[in-house]
Amino acid sequence: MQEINILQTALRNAGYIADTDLATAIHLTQVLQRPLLLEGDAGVGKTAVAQAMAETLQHQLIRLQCYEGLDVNTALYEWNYQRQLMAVRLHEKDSASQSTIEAEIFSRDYLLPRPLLQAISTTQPALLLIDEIDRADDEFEAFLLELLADFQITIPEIGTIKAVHKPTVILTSNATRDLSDALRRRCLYHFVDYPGKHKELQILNTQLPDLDRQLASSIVDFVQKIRQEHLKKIPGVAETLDWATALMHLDTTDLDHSLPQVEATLSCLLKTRADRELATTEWLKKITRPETT
Amino acid sequence: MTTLKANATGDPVSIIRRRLTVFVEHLRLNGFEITANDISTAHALFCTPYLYDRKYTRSSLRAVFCKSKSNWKDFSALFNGYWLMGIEPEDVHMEYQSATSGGGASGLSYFSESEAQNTATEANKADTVDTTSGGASDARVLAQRDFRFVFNANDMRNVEHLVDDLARQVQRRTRRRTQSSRKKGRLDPRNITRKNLGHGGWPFELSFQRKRKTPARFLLLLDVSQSMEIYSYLFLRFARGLLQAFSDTDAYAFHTDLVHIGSELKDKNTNRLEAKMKDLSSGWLGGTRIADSLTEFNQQYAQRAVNRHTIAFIFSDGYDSSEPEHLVEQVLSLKERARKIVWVNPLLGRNTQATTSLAVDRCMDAVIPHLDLYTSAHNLNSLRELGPAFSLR
Repeated sequence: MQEINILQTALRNAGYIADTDLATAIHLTQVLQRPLLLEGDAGVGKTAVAQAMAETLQHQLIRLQCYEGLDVNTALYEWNYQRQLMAVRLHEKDSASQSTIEAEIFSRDYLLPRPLLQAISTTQPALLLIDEIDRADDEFEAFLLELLADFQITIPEIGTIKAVHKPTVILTSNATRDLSDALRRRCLYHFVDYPGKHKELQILNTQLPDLDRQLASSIVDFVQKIRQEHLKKIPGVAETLDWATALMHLDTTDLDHSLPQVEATLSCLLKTRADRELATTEWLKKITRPETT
Repeated sequence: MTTLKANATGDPVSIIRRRLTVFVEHLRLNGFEITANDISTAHALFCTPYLYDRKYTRSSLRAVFCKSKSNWKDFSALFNGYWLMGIEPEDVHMEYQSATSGGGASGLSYFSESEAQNTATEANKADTVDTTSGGASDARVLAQRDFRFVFNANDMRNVEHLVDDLARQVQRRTRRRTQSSRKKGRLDPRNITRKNLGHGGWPFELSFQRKRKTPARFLLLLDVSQSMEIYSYLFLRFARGLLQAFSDTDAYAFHTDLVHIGSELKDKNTNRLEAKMKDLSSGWLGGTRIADSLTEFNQQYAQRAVNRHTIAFIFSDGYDSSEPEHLVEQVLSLKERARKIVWVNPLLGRNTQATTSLAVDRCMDAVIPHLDLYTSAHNLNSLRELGPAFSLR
């Protein structure tokens, strides 16, 4: 499948290392015009997939960050009430009819498009990233289902707005709660796991080309090992990149002989007090020690 | 015979399409929820060059048919088993395997499905492994069956799934109660402006917004002593579901000592959780000292873990070797801090004459008047009836 290979190369050029499964899923979102649901722990690179896709496909990236209590006014559209009020007051002095005023203040000029409306009404190809959908309420998820089915929105005062270009839709979830079956049914699915050693090394080399290859390999070994430890918060790829950057800035050449630097920069990897307390010097020595075969 | 012959000599595309239909059945039997739309998408893909490359066929069918992490992890083995006679190609999941391989742990097992199957009786080994989820009547029977009589590995797995579902339902019920009310309360400027456009902006019609209600916090105290052996596994599973659904929940296990297990149960990685629980569970399934464990809790953890929004659940059969007065004292001390105390006793659902003993009666009779709710949870139906207990009222 040449298209998938090309897509993989393009994603790599955009700074994202995608395996065959992910590249195929991305390709299918384009072919089938279905949303793609990416699930996985925080920091494994779900949002980065959408960013790399937008760059690769040359789509405008429109992002909706979900949170508890997110409502339609914040996600879809809102009337600019302040401007509407000003217009009403200004027209009070001239003799404009009520219907003229109404037609004016409920026109598109007074509409504040939010991400979902932006994605539907844009004339350019767009990629809509609905980030952390698991944080939104069930009601919002139900509303989203309608939108994803028809890609059209009805605004009572204006009418129905239908998407000129169906946007590519990527949903991400950290699985903090179960999403509804109805939403899952409408989406293609990909689980983004922590990368293996080989893939993480590729990511590091792509994202930080100035990083010494030997050091990169040691960093990846170290991170892979601590992911097997009993940590409260497992470091993701983002943390690995942060840590590697920090070590680069401290002119670290290898981990085995730079324990002070490793200790000083561990806050890039370990993000809870309990994990930090676990990381004693002895523990670090054990982790940095090369495996004997 | 004619049909068979025609099938055998059909063109490759139609043969593969027929096999695809059987493959879908195979997936459904293994817990995949595949819709007609998915099947039609898969058939459409089979008419494209995807057909000619096994690697992309697997990847594309995986994206279409998988709906959850567990589907995702099971898919490769099912695909290889069906299409490739179980042969694992070299290109499959090298990354995945290296990414997820955990350290070999040993000891007690509570959470991995394979271990759950191992906990089932030996008799199950002779059973044919039926991977179907069972019909409605099976589910009903299972919901009524005492956890003591869940022997079969398949039943055990179904019970686990039902317990997980139940934890999610409780989450939904409680979340709905925390929706903001728009009846009186704080003024809502945005809605007032919107409502009064027709009045030229003059606020004739007011709109209010009430602060979201503070959601309940849950505290789970789980008896993991010998007498609770049959039930503690499922209660721990239930606790895990609750802890992952509600961020403000904490859990402690007790036998002769008290162990904090809240942070461990919140871990979503089953392998890691399994290993952590094995470390913690040394000495479990021994005797019980409920009163002493509650004393330790009240002295060391209660100040931080309990407040007026906390509903405390004690999952225990009430077997205690200490004096009932001591237990009452500790329950009252906990009650002073918490909103509600719910005691869940699996023995309540059994035949009282046959199973309760003097020790239980002595302890529980003294404690019951001080509890807000004393209920059973010996099967799924009774666990379901716990729903109202999760409300602050």
